[in-house]
Amino acid sequence: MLSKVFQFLSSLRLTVVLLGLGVAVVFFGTLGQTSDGLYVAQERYFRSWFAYWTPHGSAFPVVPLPGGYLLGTLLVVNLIVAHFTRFQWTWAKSGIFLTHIGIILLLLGQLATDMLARESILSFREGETRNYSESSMDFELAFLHGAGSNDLDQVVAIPASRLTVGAEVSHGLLPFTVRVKEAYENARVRQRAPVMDSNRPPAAPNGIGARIVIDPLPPSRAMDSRNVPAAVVELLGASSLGTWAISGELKSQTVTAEGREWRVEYRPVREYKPFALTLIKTTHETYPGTDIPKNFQSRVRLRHADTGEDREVDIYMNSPLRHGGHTFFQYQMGKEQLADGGRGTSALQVVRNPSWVTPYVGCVLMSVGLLVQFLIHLTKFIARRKPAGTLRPA
Amino acid sequence: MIPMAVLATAWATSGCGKDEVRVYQAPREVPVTAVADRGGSEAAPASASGPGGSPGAATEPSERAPVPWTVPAGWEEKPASGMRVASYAVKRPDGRSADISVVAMGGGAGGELENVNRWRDQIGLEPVTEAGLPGLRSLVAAGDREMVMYELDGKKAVLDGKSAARTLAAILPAGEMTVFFKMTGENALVAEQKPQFLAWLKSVDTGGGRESSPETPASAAPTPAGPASSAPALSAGGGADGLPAWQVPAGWTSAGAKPMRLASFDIPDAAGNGDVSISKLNGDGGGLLANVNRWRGQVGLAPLEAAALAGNSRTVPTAGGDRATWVELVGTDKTILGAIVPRDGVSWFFKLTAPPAVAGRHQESFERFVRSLRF
Repeated sequence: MLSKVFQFLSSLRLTVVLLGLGVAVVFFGTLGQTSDGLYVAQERYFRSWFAYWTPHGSAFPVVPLPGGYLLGTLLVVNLIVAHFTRFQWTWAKSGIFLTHIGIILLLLGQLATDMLARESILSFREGETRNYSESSMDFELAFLHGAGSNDLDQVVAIPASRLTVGAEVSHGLLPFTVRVKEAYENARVRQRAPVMDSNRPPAAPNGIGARIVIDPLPPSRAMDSRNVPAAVVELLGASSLGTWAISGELKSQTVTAEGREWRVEYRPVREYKPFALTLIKTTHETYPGTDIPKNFQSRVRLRHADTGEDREVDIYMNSPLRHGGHTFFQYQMGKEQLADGGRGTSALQVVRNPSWVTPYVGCVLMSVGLLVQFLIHLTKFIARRKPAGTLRPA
Repeated sequence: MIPMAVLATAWATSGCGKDEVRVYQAPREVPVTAVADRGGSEAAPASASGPGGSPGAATEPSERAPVPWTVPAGWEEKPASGMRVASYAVKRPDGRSADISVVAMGGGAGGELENVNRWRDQIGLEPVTEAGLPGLRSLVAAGDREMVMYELDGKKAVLDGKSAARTLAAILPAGEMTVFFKMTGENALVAEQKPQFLAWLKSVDTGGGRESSPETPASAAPTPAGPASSAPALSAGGGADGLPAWQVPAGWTSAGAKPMRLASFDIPDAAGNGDVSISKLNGDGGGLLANVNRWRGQVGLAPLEAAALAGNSRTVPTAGGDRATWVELVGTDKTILGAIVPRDGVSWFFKLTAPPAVAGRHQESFERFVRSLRF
């Protein structure tokens, strides 16, 4: 029985079927991207064990598919089991072994990247210093107050996923409970127009909420836009501390609880670094006569207090900055059109991927393996050809 | 089986802690931060693509000076200037561009025909007559209101003498104001941007605009009693919208505010409906004679000389003590009965348009309506 299982798991047929299914998943995943957008399609088809493809407009799942995780896992198992059962460990096949180890590393490395890598955005203007990057997808409701020292804030951050209508969130460090009255995945806020909005109440009675209205928007799946969530929350201390409108489009508001002022911000999830980057200068070159970018370049100053590091670096296309386990890629660039006479702005994509080195190792192993196997065959061929080599041209 | 175990562990641990409340200490920030940006444009970090956005510059919590509409992707905001409430641009790398503007003006802003002809002139099109307007019009819903939209396809190469232009323009009456939404630019680009323009119009939040729009007579008309109703149906005259009070004759139904109009009534009649419009213009609205002649043109009559005006009009006193200049312009297929009341630097126009026989039947009630005016 067990041998049958191993036979199945090691069979070449399984490899072919898995590769075929892989092609199908890529095909349907690409189709799915048109309606779901890149991020959702990735989650649904590739970062999953099982997936199904639904034609646009259909209410029922139609094509069931194995997800990317399942295919990858089975391929790895297939390859490893095959080595224990079908393949023979001989020097003559050492190149193939090396190549296969390279493939396994690629597959595992991709899985590790998928599960461990974190991407975020660091955006700043010329002259500004940042020691954190922000998520491009996820928001958090942050409550902040001074933490003893003058230049530190104590932050209690509630992830947006907890802010569902009717939810109550409390935390030992917060002197109040947050009760969610309205929640929107994507919305925009705007000034309440006295005449046009006369039949709409303000978003909330306290703070800026009294002067705005919240317009819910359908969640966006497009690559070039993002959802900006909004909510209306009531803060409940010993008594109610008022009802507040919060949105990713608003800056901080202040609420006083138990004699202490808290700042309230609904903002992208932040990831703080032990070092800081200052944007010194942006260079934005386009091809002459067009708006097509030729070169985006950011000159930044990197300061790391712990190591005493202090240096200037140029970040541009294909030349990222690697520091402290993070990679900073040049992402977007622009100029502020209104404020400060047009200071340059830059956005860096920050990737923290502990397994970034595995694909390189995998590729080197595969290349070496193929080369070794080729050389083994070549030497064998030459050796066989020698006897014939005694022939001389007439 | 080791890789399986690795995978399972990695799988199990991923995603943990995502919903946890995080507590940390962070260096206090210098107060300036770019607010959230929606666009993926090059200028995204500064959120300069947002409407009115001046990230980090203002001290108010709300930085965006929000506007009551959604700016389509790819529209670049420009500073509003002059008469413009808002201004946007669409640019293409090949140099083609389109200009988008929002202009709000008091009253009817010169009339629909004049504006359409001005826009036509800008892109090298011949002017049209009032009769030609309905064929060019389309209606667009904006919130609970309807806007009249014109799409003008210029054929002449008016842009640097190289390419033709196209204009999309929509008119929204908003109480005493008229708001114009207009996109003009390179012909193909504007055609390509039409869906965005329409989506933009649809996104305009007209909210409680009805409240200030002068169609309140709707609730009062038709009056239940017969002619010269003993229960006079008073409009919102003297209210916030500044319309005069009036008595609506029996059988009239309110048709609400339309482009260039503060109020409208329909007079149902088997022989063809009559249309009553109320509008106003600043000053003398171009002059009494010019307006009477414009109306004469609409029914196919030749213009009058200034000296002939007095002989072709009479004065009708109103309940409020004003004096209306009354004209009866009988054409071959339609008749206009009009009354013009100059008052406080504003000219009010009351106009009934109907087939001649219908106008004759309702002349008396229209005159009673004009006489009932109380500003």
